[in-house]
Amino acid sequence: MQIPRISGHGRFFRSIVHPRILFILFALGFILEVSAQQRQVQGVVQDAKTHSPLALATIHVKSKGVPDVTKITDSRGHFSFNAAPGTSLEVTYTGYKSIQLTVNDDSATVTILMDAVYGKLEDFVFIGYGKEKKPDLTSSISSLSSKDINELPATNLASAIASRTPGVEVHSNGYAPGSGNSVNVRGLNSITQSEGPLYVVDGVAITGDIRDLNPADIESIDILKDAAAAGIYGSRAAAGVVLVTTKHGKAGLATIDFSMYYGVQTPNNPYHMLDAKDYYNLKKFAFNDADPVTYAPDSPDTKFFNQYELKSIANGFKTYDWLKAVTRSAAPMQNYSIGISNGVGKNKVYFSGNYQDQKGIMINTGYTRYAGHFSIESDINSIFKLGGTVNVDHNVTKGVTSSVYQNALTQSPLMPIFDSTGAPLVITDQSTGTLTIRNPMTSALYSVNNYTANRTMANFYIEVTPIRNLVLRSSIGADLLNAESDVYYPRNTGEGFSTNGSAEVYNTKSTDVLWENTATYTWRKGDHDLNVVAGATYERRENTAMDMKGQQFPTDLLTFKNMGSAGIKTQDNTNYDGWIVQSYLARAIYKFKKRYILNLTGRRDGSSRFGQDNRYGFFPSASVAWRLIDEPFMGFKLKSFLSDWKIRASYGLIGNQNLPYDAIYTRYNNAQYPFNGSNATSGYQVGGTAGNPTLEWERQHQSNLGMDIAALNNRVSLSVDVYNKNITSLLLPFNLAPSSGFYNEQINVASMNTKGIDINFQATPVKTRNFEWQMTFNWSRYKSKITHLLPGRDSVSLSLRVGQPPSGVLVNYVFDGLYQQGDDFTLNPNGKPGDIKIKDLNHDGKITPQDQTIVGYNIPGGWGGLWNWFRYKSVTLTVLASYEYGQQLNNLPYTNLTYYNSWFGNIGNVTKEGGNCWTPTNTHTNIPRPNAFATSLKPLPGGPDQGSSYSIQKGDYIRIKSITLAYDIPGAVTQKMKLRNMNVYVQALEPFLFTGYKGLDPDNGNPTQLENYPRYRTFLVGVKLGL
Amino acid sequence: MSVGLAGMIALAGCKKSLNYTPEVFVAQPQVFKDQAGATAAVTGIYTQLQTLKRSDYALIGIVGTDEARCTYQSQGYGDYWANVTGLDVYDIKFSSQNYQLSGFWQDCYIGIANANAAIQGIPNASIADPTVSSRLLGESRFMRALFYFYLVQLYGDIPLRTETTPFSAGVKRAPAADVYKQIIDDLKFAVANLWVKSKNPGIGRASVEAAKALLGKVYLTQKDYADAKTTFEDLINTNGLTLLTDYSQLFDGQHENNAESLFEIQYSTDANNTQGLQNLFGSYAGVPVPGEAWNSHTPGAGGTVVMATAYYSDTVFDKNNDKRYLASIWPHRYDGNGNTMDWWVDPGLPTIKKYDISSSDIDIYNSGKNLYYLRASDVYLMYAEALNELAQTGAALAPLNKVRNRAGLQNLEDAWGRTPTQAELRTELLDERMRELGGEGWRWFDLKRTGTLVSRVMTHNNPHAYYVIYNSGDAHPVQNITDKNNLYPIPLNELQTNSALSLTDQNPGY
Repeated sequence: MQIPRISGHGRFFRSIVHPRILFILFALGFILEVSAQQRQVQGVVQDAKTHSPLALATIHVKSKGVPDVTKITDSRGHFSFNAAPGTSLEVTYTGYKSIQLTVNDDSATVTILMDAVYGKLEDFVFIGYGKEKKPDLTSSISSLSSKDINELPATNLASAIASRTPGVEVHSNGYAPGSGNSVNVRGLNSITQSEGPLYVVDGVAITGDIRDLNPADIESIDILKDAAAAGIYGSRAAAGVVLVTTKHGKAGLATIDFSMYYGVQTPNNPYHMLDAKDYYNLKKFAFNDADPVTYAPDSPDTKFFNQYELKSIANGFKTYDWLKAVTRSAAPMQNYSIGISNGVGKNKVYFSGNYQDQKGIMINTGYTRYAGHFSIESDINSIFKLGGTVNVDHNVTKGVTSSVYQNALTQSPLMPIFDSTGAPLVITDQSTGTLTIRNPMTSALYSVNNYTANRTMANFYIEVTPIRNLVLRSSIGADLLNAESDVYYPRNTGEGFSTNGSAEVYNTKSTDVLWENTATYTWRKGDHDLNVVAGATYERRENTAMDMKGQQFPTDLLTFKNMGSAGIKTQDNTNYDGWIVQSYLARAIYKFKKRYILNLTGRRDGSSRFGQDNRYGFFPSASVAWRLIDEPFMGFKLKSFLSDWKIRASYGLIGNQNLPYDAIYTRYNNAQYPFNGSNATSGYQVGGTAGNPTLEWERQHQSNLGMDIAALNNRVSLSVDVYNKNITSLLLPFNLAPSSGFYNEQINVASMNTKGIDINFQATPVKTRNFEWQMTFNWSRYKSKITHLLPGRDSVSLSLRVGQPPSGVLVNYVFDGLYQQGDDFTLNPNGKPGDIKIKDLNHDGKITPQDQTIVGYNIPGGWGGLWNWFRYKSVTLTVLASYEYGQQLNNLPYTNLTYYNSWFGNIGNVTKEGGNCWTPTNTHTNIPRPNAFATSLKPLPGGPDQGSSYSIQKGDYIRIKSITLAYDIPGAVTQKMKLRNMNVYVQALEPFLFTGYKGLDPDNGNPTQLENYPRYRTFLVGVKLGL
Repeated sequence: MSVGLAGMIALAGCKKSLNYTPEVFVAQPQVFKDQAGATAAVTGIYTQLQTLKRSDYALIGIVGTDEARCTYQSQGYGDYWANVTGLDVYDIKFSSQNYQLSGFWQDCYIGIANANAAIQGIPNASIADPTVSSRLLGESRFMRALFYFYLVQLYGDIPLRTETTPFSAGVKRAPAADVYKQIIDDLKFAVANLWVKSKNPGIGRASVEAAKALLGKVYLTQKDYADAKTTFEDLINTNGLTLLTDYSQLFDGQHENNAESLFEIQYSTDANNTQGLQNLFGSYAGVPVPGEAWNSHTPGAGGTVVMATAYYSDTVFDKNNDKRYLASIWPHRYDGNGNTMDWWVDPGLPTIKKYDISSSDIDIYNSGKNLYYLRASDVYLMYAEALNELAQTGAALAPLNKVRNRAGLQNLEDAWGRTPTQAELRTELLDERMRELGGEGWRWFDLKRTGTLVSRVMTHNNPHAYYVIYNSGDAHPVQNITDKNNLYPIPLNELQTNSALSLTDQNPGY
C-alpha cells in the first residue's frame, strides 16, 4: 500500500509556476524515469530485538537520476519500491536510530532491522522559543523523554522527574493520594520568596504547580538549569525552568495506543506501638510517677481506665489494632489510557483520554482523575501553519483529617473501636450533649475532606513563513484553573463536636492568558550558522478566591453543601488579585564550523507588581560551547575511542518577580466593629506591612561550567556541570519601629551564594544480541550561604544568619542525656531523675532561649538516582533507585510517639521503643521518664512541643523506587492479533527503603507534615498495546 | 502580513498595559474621599481597641496587682505563658522582651496610627454635615487619648506621634507631661465635638459622657484634683449618671450598653468580633477520666491562667451582705457535667466570674460579651477620691455610698459607726474600687496612681509565700516587684528599630 504524500510546497509551486514550465519539468521527469532499469522490491521494517514490525516508518528512496521518493510502512511493517542499481534507502522511525543502506542488485526483498534508541542523545532539546540539537547546547539542560516519564505510573510530573535529573531536588509533600511535591532546581534561590521552578507547557508559562497535567500526555521534559538556558524567561527564571511538551500527532497512518494497569497498595508502617498489656503497665506507672498520692501503686484500675478499657483488661488484655482499623490492607489502583495519532495529509492530530483511580491506603481517601488531551497541527500551505493543544483535567482528591493517623497510633489499645452495633464507639454525655470519648474512626469515616480541580491548559498558534529562513509566530495560551476544597466535620467527630458541625468551602479560580509574538530567522553560509529569535510577550493573570466557614449546623446530613444553614459564619471572605507581565526577548545562536557555538540571550521584563519607577528589568546572558571532538587536532586514534567531547561555559542574570502582589502598597485592611454589641459594622484599618514602592526584582547572577564527554561509540558518557550563583536584592521584611503602627516593610537587601555540582553518567556495560545492560547514575550537591542580611546585622534570627544556608538550619536546645539519681538539678529545679537534661550553653545557670544553637542542617550533602535496565531477549528488568545523604531532620513526630505523654495525644500509646523508658530500675536508656504532665520537657522555654537535639536524626537513605519486569510479545504473535506491538509488565513501587531514620520517611523537608499519612508499597500489573 | 505581525509585537509591548492595581484593598486617598470612607476609617480605630483587649494583653492592669495573679502551672505551659506570668511576678520575664508588654505597646500604637490617619484625613473628606465631620474627628481624638493614656501610665516618657509624624520617622521619647498635655488637648476637643450618648448614631461610639469621664480620670491620675472634681461635677450635673439597681446584671451578658455604661468595648459572636478572656480567667472543668475531651461550655471553665488573689476572693468582701461577691467570684469549680468539684491545691482559690460566658456565646475562646471601659460607679468612686484628696472627706461619702447602697451595703459612716479620716477613706476607696471594679482592668493603674503598687502587691500577691504553708518546697513563683516596676520597660524592638532611640533610652532598672 502506498501513501501518496502531497507536500505543501508542491501545491504552492503549482499555483505560481507557469503551466508550460510545469509541463517541461514533468516531461523531463518522465523521460528520466523510463530510462532507468527498474524492478519492484518488497521491504519490511522490524525492531532489531523483538522482530516485531514497525508500522509508519519513513523510507526515503534515493536512486540516481530519479527524484527521491518517500514511502511509509503499513501496519505489518511492509513497503515496496522501485529499485535501480545503486538505490539507497534512508529509514527513519521515532525512537529508533536512523539507518542508511544500499539495495543489492539482485535482492527482491529487503529486511531492515532498526535499533531502538534509549535516551535522547541525538534528539532535539527544547530551549524556550525554539529547539536545539543536544550536541549543540551551550548551557545546562536536562531532558527526559515520554519513555522515561511513563516508566513509573506517576500521578504528577514532579514525581516523574524525581531522581532522574541531576541538580533537581524533588521532595514529596506526603503520601496521601494526590499529594504534590516540592521541586528545587539547584538549591534554594530566595530567602523569603521561594517558589518552585517556572513550568512552561507547550510554550505557556504556568504560575504555580502543574500537578493537574497528566504525565501520560507528556512527550518530553527539558529542565533549563543555568542562567543562560533559563535567561530567555528573564524575571521568572530564578528557580529554573521546566519546559513540558505534550504529545502531538506524528506523520503517518493512524495509530492507537492503549495502556492500563491495575495494582494494590499495601501498608508499610514504620511505627510499632505497645500492646495492651505493656500499655496498661506503662500508663499505671506514668500516673503513679506523676502524682503518687492520687495514683498510688495500689490504686484500683478504675482510677486509670474507663469502663471499656476495664472490660478489655478483664478479657485478658484484649488488644485493639487501631492502625489496622483506619487503613486498608490492600487499596486498589487502576489506570486506563488511550492515545490516537493520525498524521496523514496536511493535518496531524493527536487525541488521548485517561482515567485513573487510586484508593488511598487510609480508609475513605483516594484520588480520581479524568484527563483529555487534544493536539492539532495543520499545514495550510507553504506559508501558513496552524496548531493548537488543549489539555483538560478533572481530578478529585478525597483526603483525611490530618489527626486520624496520629490518633490511631496513639489510641489506647484497650479501647474497643466499634460498639455492639458496629458503629465507631463514641460516648456522648446526655446531660451536656458533648462527646466524652473521641474516636479517630469517626473522623476517618464521616468527615468530608475533598479537593476538586478543573484545569484547562490550552495553546493556539499561527506560523507564517513569508520568506525563506524567517518564521513569524503568534500564539495565544491560557491556563484556567478552578479548584474547590470542601470540608465538613460532623458533630460525632472530635473536630466537629464542640461546634455542632463545622464546614469550609474554599474556592479558587485563576485565569492566565499569554500572548506571544516571535520571529525566528535562520541563516547558514559556509562555516557560519546563525539563528536569531526576537519577540514580545504579554501575560495577564487574575486570581479570585472565596472562602466560607461555618459552624452550628442543624443537621450533619447536608455536610458542607448548605452553608446558609450554619448558625455561625466564622469566615466569609473573597479575594481578588492579579498582575501583568510584558516582555521583549531576543536570542542569537551563532555556530562557526559547527564546533564553536555562541549563544546570546536577553529579556526585558516589565511587571505590574513593582512601583512606577522599578517596573522594568533587563536580564542578559551569554554562553559558549566548544565541540572539541570535531577539532581537526583530534587524532584518529583518539576519535576511535572518544565519540563526543564538548566544553560549555555560561554566565547570566535572571530574576525573581515573586513578591507579595500588594507589597508596594500601604493598604487599608477590612476591619469590623459591632457597634451596639451585635451588628458588625465594616471599617478600614491601616497597619501591618507598610508598602514600599521602591521594590525591585531579586537578581541572580549564575555562571556555569560544563563538560560532556562520551566514549566507545557513546557506550559511556559523562556530563559534569559546576555552577556558582550570587543572588542579590533578596527581599526581607525590615522591621519598623512598633510606635509607627506598622510591623515592617519589604526591602531588597540580602544576598546569598550557592555553589554546586551536577553529574550525570550513562553507560551500556553489556550489549549483545540477546543480553543488554544499560545504566544511568546521577549525583548532585550544593552549598548555600547567606552573604549579607540587613544593614549592620549579620543575623535576623538564630537560624537566619550570615554564613549559614537560607533555610534548613535546625536550631534547638542541646540534649545532654537524662538526669540520674543524685544529679545536680539547678538547671531544672522541677526536674526528677529520668528527665531530659539540656546543655546550659552560655553557662548562666538557667535554660533560656539563648541556650539554643544550630543542631543540624536539613540540607542534603548529596543526592541522586541510579537507573538500571537489563534485557534478555524480549524480557526487560528496570530498577530505579534514589538516594540522599548528609541531611538531618528534626524528627519530632517520632520523638513524640516515643515519649509517653506527648503533644500527640496527652495520654496516648507509645512506640515499642518508648516502652523502654527510664524508670528507677531501668536507667540505661535515652527514653525519658514517662510522666502524665510533661515535666521532663518543662525546662525548655519553648515548652514540650519544641523538643531538643534529642529529636535530630540523620536522614540518609537509599530507596528502591521501582522494579519493573516487562515482556515484549514477539512480533509473530502480535501480528496474529493484528497488533502493532504489545508489552506486559509487573511492577513494584517503593518496595524497599534503607535508612537509619526512625520516622515515616526521610524524603521530606518537614517531617511533621508526613505524619498525616502512612507509607505503602504498590504492586502493579500492566499492559501496553499498539494498534 | 509581516507588517501586521510586527504590529502585533509592538502592541504586545504597550507600556500603559502595566497599570494594574489589585482591587481587593484600598489605600489612603480612596478611604478619605467621603463620609462613608471616613466613618469606616474611624470604625477601624475602635477595632484596634477591640483587638487590644480581646485576649491576654487585657491582663495588663489586672494581674501583677493585689486582685489577681497567675497560677503556677501557667508558667509551665511554655515560654509564652511564662511571659504572661512575668506580668504578675515581675521576674526575669518582665523584661523589654516580654511578648505581652511589647504586644500591648504595638497594639496601642497601631490604634494611634489609625487615629492619626483619620485626624489627618477627615478634614479632606467631603462630608455635608459639619457636625458629623467634627464628631468623627472627636471620636478619633478620644481614641488617640485613650491609647496614649494607657501608654503614658505604663511606660512613662514615650514617642509622641501625631497626625503630622511620618510613619517611617524615628521619634524620641517625649516627656510624660507633654503626652498628658496632648491627651488633655484631645479629650477637651472630644468633649466639645462628640455627641451625647442618646444622640449617637451607634451605641458603642465615644460620647460626651465618656470623654468627660476619661478627662476626669486623666486629671485624677495627674493629681489635678480640682480639675478632676470640676469635670466629674460637670458630667454628673449636665449629663447625669445612672447605676443599675442590680449589680449582677452588669455581668450577665444580657445587659450590654446599659444605662450605667459610659463606654464599653464591643464584642459579638460574629467571626473576628469575639473575645477569649474566659479562657484566661476560668479553670479546668475536667472530666472524671483524665485525657478525654474538655467541655468548653461549663460554668467557670477555662485554661487556669488567672486566679483571684486570696485578698479579692476571700477577704475584701463582706461575703454575706455584699451582692457583688457572688457576681464577681466563682467560689466553686465545676466538672464537665456541671457538678461542683474540689479545687486543686493550685489554683486552690476561686476564679473571677465577670468574663464567664453566657448561653449565647460560642465557647470560652469566643465570647460576644462586651467589656467595660468606663461606667458610672467608676466615676462616683473617682469623684469621691478627688473630693477626699481635696480634704472634703465628708462630701466624698455621698458618691461612695451610692455605690455601696447599690451593692446592698449600708452607708459607710453607718457601717463603721463613725466618719472615716482622710487616710482611712483613701484606703477604703482603694478597697471599694476592688469590690466594685475588680477584674475590669483598672487595678494596676489605681495602685500606681495612689502610690500603693509595690506595697499592696507584696502583701496580697506573693503566691510562693502563700503556698509555702501548704507545701514545703513549693513551686509557685516568688513575687519580685520593686519600685522600678512602677514603669514598664520600653520594648526592646522599639529601641532597636526606632532610629531616634538607642538601647540606653530605657526606663531605669531594666
